[in-house]
Amino acid sequence: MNRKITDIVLEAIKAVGEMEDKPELLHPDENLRLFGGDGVMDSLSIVMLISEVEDQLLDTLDVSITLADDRAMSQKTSPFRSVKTLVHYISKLLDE
Amino acid sequence: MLKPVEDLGLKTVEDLGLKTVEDSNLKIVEDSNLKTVEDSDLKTILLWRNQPEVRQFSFHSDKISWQEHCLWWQSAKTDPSKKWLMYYQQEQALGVVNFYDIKERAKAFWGFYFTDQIAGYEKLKLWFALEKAAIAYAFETLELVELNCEVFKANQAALVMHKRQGFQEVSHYEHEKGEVVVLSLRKD
Repeated sequence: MNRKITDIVLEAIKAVGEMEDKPELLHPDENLRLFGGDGVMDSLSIVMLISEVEDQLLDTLDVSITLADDRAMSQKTSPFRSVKTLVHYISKLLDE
Repeated sequence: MLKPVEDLGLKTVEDLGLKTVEDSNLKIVEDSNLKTVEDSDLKTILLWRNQPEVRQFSFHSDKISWQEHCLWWQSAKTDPSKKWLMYYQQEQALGVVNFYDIKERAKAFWGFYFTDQIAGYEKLKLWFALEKAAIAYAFETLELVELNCEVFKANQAALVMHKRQGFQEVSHYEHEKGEVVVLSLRKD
């Protein structure tokens, strides 16, 4: 399952890169940092990414989850820090 | 007589004595509120309003001068159809919320913008918190039953964020800067 989620997240990052014309998002990998440090996304990009991932999870896995809500915002470590943390957070939500 | 902002030697938010989020390690928390804008907030608001990213999605995208800003405020602060509020967290001003076309205890439009001193994930968290606070203020303090907003279609992130709070598209119209989407949220 984690492989599928990772693919969805990477595809969503590429889609945001195409929408926002950001070359640095067009070839993402699992080690990509999204926020902070060498992060490649600003707050507007992350909003688009969240929306895109939610849509693709629904289309591909037929699951409806909300990635950005009070719970996500109150996490000690941001689920949107990197591809890995985002995949982990999605996986956790799907297990519930 | 208000002096031009340049004469006051104020160029950045730091000049105003406000800390940046990175400097202060401020955490975006629920301890937040909205307070009516005071004359002393004007310089801060002008700095935020003139940010390129704010002007990009404003109906009037020209840079605003201090004189224009003061003239606008003289009119806005006594206009009963408008309400301007500063958004605070832990006593730090982080954004501006405005309600306009207020029909008492019925409906209004709203808009907002943020401090220039916050970015990345903290800005996303701030956005969530500010939007929730503004909606609560509209329905609980202003006792509105309908809250509306206008967003350029090109501002996809704002559309996504508004819809996440329950706003629904109700109409579209053309503006010289592009297509505008009107969204609405009802109290019930």
